[in-house]
Amino acid sequence: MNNNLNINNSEFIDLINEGDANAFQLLFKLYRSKLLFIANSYISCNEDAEEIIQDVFLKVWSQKNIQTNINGYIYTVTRNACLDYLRKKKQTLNIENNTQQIEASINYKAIADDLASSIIEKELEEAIMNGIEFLPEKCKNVFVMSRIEGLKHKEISKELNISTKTVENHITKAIKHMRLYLREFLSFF
Amino acid sequence: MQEKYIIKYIEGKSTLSEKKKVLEWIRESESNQNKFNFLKAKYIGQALKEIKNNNNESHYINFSKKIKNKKRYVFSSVGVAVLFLSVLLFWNYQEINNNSYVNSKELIKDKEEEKDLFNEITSNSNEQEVILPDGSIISLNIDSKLIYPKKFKDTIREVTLIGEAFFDIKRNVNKPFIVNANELKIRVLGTSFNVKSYEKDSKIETTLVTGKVELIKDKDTPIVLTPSQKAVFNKAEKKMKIEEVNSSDVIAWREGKLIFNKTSLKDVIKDLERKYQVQFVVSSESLLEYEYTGTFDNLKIKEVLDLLSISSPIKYSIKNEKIILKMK
Repeated sequence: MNNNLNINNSEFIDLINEGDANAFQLLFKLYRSKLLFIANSYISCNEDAEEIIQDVFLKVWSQKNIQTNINGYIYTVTRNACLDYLRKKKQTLNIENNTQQIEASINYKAIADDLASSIIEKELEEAIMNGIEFLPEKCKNVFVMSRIEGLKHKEISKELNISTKTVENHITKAIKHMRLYLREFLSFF
Repeated sequence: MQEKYIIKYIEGKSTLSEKKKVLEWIRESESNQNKFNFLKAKYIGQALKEIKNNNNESHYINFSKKIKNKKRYVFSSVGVAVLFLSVLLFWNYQEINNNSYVNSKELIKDKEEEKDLFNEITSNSNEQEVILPDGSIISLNIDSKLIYPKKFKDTIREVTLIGEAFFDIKRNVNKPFIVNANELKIRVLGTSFNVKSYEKDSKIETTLVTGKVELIKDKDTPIVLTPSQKAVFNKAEKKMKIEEVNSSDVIAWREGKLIFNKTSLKDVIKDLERKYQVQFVVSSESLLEYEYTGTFDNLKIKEVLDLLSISSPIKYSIKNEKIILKMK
């Protein structure tokens, strides 16, 4: 099995496409703050950015159509949603606040820029991975199998040839570790 | 311009006058804009590393409630047969709501009951293309909603439309395709046609591009359309009228164009309001009946208004973000 915890792990993608609530929740918690930050960088109105990100997750949840690249997919959905929003903002009449309209137009061009956009996409993936990479090797294996590939404790113990007790210990350790680095990210487990 | 001013602006730390200067500089040339794009992307990329996952727990609980709400809405709009189920789900939901913590197991159970049945696609500010399970392609216009089953029944393909869409239906003689548009049913075997059925509009318009369609209303004899015919159903008078049209004009919205041919200003305004998310005010009744002919080919709203005032006896002004139309 793959030793690196990869957000684009095919089992994880399958679980999300099948509508697995745990997997989706993990995705939500990993990405929400970061996507919101990206949206907010281009969209000055806080509430609108929040709404856009909510719609992004609704779309991911309802379409269940991720192919092989979760990060690329979720980033593209976010980017398109921002573009839609800014396109509308550019067109909407706004006589009182011309600066806002100019900024919307500039930001539209900025996020439409493929090269610039690919930088953000790459950094986003790295930031997500780094958060998880802090895990000790053995813990990581077990954690990936349990939470991302969705295997049962028994199945993991069989595959790695360790007792179920050890599996549980590893998971507890992993969670502790991740809490430290990802704070509230894992309070769910 | 010095990079540090641009970065200061990106970080949101510039003063008002600095900000104006940066904005001016960006707009000066394409290469300036590109430089800005790059600096901004780099800044975001760096900053992402410091973004912590705060409060995502409580956001998720809110979000999972939203998912439920959305689904129940699809159900209630589909039919009596499903109504019973949705009542059950509603009880279920109430129970969950009583617990402050949303149990993920219940979420799964809830979801499995519902997810196999219907898809709901809504286009807000942009056109959207949907491919149905049978391979038919549907283009949704702005502000429209399409509801369709994830899997069609064995004998019939049935969908519901609120808004405007262009249908390109895969031919299947054994499985007629039916569009429910308000009180009309549009029945086809394999063909392409446009349906405009916004809730706010006074009429339902069906335009045939190729093939053959039947319009069914209650127990009336079905009306058969031939290509380039448009059936206009007046919701208030409950009357159907058939017009000969240029069908490519009717579906020009798919290329971002609005084409009007002796269209009443009342209808023109509705299309403009949807497309540009603006509001019009027209105080004169007779002006609403004015028949406008003209094409707006991917224009900005300002250009549309200018063109409108050049090509018709209408003048416009803007007040409180509303567009006021008057006779010249």
